[in-house]
Amino acid sequence: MDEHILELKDISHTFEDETILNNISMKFPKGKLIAITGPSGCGKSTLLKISAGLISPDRGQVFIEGNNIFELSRTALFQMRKKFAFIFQDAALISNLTVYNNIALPLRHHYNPPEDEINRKVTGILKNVDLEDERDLLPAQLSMGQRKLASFARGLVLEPGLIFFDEPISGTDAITREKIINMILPLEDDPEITLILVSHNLDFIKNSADYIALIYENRLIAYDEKEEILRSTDPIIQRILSIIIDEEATVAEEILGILTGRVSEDVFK
Amino acid sequence: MGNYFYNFGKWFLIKIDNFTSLNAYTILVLKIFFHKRKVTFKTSLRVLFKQILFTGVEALPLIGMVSLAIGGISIIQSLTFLPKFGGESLIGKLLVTVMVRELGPLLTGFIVMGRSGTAITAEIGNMVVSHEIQALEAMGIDPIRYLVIPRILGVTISLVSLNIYFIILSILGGFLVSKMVLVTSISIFLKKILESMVLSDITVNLLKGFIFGLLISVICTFEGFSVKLSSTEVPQRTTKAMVNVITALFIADGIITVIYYI
Repeated sequence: MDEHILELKDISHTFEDETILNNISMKFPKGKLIAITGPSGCGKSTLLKISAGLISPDRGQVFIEGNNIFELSRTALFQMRKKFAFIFQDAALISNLTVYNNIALPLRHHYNPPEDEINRKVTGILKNVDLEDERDLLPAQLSMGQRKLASFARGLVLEPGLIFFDEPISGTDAITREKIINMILPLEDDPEITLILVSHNLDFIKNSADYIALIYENRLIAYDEKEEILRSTDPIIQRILSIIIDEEATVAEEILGILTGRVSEDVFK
Repeated sequence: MGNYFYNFGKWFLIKIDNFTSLNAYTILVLKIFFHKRKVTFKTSLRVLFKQILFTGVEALPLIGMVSLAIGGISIIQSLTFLPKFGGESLIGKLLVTVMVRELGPLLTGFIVMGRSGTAITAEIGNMVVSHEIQALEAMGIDPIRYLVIPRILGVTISLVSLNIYFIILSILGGFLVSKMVLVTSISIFLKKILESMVLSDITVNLLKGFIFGLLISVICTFEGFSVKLSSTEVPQRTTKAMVNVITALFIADGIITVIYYI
């Protein structure tokens, strides 16, 4: 692997006596898209939040650009976070700010440029995510997909070099999913931007990732280039991939069941 | 019996733990407050103005009504028993003691706690549950600087100002009742009040307003951040914040009164 932007060393974490992550070590190469995947509840999102310094692990170290982030002062850590973005699974927009003010918040807070400059930049980003008409709405007035797009826009406003995505396309309709994928893919071409995402969607991972990390039962099972993982004949890797595919299929079947059988039964009652 | 001691010990340790955490939180807030920042306070200023608007300006009608009523009631009560002891001349002193020193700061504190303190705990608690606090941290925005410090300043500035407003309106309430009963003029009434008032009365009133404002805002923000995972924790923490603030206000009131007047 090339130059590393992020390194995890021996990360272990528990929550209420339950092991969430068990001794995970990884290095994330700069300018690549690394997908972390695994079955539900295996600790992917916790690992992502620990990588971004949002959760302190019980044991282990996280280095971003060579700095152990849990040894930095509070001020230095917040200054460092300007350089990266975290896109939450539930968008996590500030509920009492409009879409426009949510996106403008990090700009105002860190750099305080003139209002016309903020307006120009935020309007440009809103146009990219197709939320110009929603700029004055509060997050509660948006659909989940629109919230994710707004969260994406807020993450990009400071032009970060490292972006964490927690399930970027889950819970979105096909159109929003396409919009999000179309926003992620160009970022992948920029050698200065590293993307780390957690996803269940194997099709999305197959089409976008450079590296894949497989987590199963709180452990890192495999971490390699995408082709190596997908071509692997290792029975454990194949088993985990099939579990992920099964989970996706189960969700799809459940949705299909609701749309066909159950709905039609209700209609004829 | 052993179980009783076990439960008492557990309860006591939890209280000590909470108290230690609150102190650590207060020290962290102070540290961040006095730490110089290179960039602007613009985003925090917006939060501060909103807080002053909500805690101070929007509380004016309620505090106005309460202070007028309390001022009037105090005079009515004084007039019913003071003349029996030949103590009519003490009415002014009584009004100053009750309004300026004690009831003013305490009642204003309780009203601010009920209106704003609970709202602050619930708002921050909900922000924790919906990951908005983590989102702020992820953007490099310190929630203490962005959310807590403007609220502490807003509540404290509002409470000190509301105390002054309370004194003025309670004296006015007292005058209106006196006017009906004693047919006195405003100048004589004010003269009596001012003669009874010493500088330490005003100092203590403002000091209590300042300390109560700090206690309400620090305790309520702390309880908001104590919410961990579930939205069901939010009302529990809000109730806890109210109980802790009431206790803290009475203890602080007692300490200040003892220091100044005994």
